[in-house]
Amino acid sequence: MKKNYLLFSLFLLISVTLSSCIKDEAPSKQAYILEATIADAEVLLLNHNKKVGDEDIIIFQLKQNKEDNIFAPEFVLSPGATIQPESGTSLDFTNGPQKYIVTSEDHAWTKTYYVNFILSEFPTYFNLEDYLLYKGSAVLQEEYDVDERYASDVYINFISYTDKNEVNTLWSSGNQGFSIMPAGKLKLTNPSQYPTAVDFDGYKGKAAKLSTILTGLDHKMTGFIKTPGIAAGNLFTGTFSLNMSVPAASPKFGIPYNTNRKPITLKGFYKYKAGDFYGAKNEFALKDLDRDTWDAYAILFEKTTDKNYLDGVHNFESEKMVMVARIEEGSYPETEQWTPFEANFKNVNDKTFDPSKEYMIALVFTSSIQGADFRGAIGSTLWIDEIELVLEDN
Amino acid sequence: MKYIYIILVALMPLYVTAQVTENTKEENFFIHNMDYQVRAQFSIGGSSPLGLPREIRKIDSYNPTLQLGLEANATKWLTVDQKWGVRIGLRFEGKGMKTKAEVKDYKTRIFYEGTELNGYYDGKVRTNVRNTYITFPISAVYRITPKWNIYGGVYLSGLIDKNFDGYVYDGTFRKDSPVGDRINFKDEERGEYDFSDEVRKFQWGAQIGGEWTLNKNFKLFSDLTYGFNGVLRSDFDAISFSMHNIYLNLGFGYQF
Repeated sequence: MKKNYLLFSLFLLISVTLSSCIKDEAPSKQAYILEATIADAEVLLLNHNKKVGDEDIIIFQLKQNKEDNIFAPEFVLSPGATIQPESGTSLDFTNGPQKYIVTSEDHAWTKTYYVNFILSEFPTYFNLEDYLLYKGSAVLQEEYDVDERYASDVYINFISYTDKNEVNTLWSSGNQGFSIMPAGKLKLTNPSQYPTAVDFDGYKGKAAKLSTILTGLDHKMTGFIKTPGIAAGNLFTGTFSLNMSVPAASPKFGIPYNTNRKPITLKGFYKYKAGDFYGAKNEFALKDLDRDTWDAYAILFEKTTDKNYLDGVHNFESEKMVMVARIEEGSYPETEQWTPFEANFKNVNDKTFDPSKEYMIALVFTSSIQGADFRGAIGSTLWIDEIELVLEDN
Repeated sequence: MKYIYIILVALMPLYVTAQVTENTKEENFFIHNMDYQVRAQFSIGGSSPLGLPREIRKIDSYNPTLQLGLEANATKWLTVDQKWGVRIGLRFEGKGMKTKAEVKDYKTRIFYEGTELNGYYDGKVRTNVRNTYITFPISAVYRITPKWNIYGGVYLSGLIDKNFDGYVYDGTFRKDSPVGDRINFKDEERGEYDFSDEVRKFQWGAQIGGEWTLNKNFKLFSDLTYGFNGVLRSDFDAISFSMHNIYLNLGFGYQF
């Protein structure tokens, strides 16, 4: 008799367990390009970093002119995804970017990418006149209107145009990270409210306006997602990829230094206003500084095959650094007038510039000098314009 | 419909009780043909969808954790041969588990101090559930042999203490859509979630089980409970499937 009931309960258990079995895998919903390259990338491209982030513009920088502009980009896609035109298809890039559409395995989702090949002399003058409007990490094909209401995750990023009028996405900022978390909480309505914004009243034409902003997030920095309490406005050459556990490491500084001329001076024009509020409990107070100040520097560093960048927490300690130019502390105080600044390049790490070597260069500007540590005064604002790298004549 | 049928079955003995009571007025209802019992139990189970959804690719680990319960109940035997009875009780019980699972295209929401991110997640998920309920079980009891009783019925539960949280790790979260901006969680990086405030205050479900008489006072029992309504509020959409409390209770009872 006893056996029967044991059996009975066993059956119950088994039926529950069976209905909990792992089902067949559903087709993936992802539609990303993970890597992009071309044949002979090392020979033809300046930066053959094959990893593709969230940006929907993929730019290959060519080392030199090719007879034609026909390339056959090859892609690695997220599992199961397909791409049109297919990976390895030869296309003519003479007339600018080509559009690629990635479709997820379940056919329900698509993501559009624009791929281009550009040839550009190393840019030495940055007038900060041009920008693109982004939503999340996708470029919005529309004009920016300062008075318009936008979704909270819409922001601007500065770009440059090549001689052939092609987009070069050499500038980046923390705006993309800001769009993911704080912007929604702060209910931003216009890209002008972002830490990195465009100002239409620059020294010449437009300028970059960098502000130190309260993020409105809990910032105990003890949780697993670290959310900083302030975000200093920043502008740098390189890319940004959000790092949730070390937010300060999200910026990846550096673009190819495709010239064999030694850098001499970093210069430009600035205006600066320091904030004086450090949070309710002085929680963003500066270390060894009485008043907030801005920072501008350039670092020339050796090109590496892996991790070819300096991240936001480099703290001027990287072994890769060859030359550094940084504005002298205290030399460029607060001012409401456009004022020139300059910093000379100096050798570091007992290294010297070798014209035959390949280098990367990072230009970095921030509205709070200790912004990478998330220290700074709320309201500190830096305007920056007409940046120039002076190079030695050959 | 199925539920209504179960309720009817569970409540029928009550009606019979009323009938029987009238016929035996001279005897004290609370003494005659009554059994009183206290029980202690531990529970193995979890908050699980019935039939794992396709988003769940792998269960890496499962820990039932130590979930204890205490119950007092009374059984009124309805027939002189004590074949049929009805039992009501009061039980304080913990229901919980810890799991590690791997998911794909799992729609969820990550919270952080008032900021929330909605989106899709591929990777690993850790879930910790620890809820405490006050439960009123109502069962019909049937004596099969002098040593064996089986019982079944419904229960109503109120939530006293709640915890439903966890974190995602070693994976990728895509904001807003399956092709949105990616946030990678590598190595030690974690994205926490806390759905504690979304745990439903009221639960009801069915239970079925059996008890074995060890000696005059001691009984061993085992029963299975299943919650009809989800553990989390039905308007909560950060998880695309409904999860139910499914628990196997094991324990002993002392009968006075």
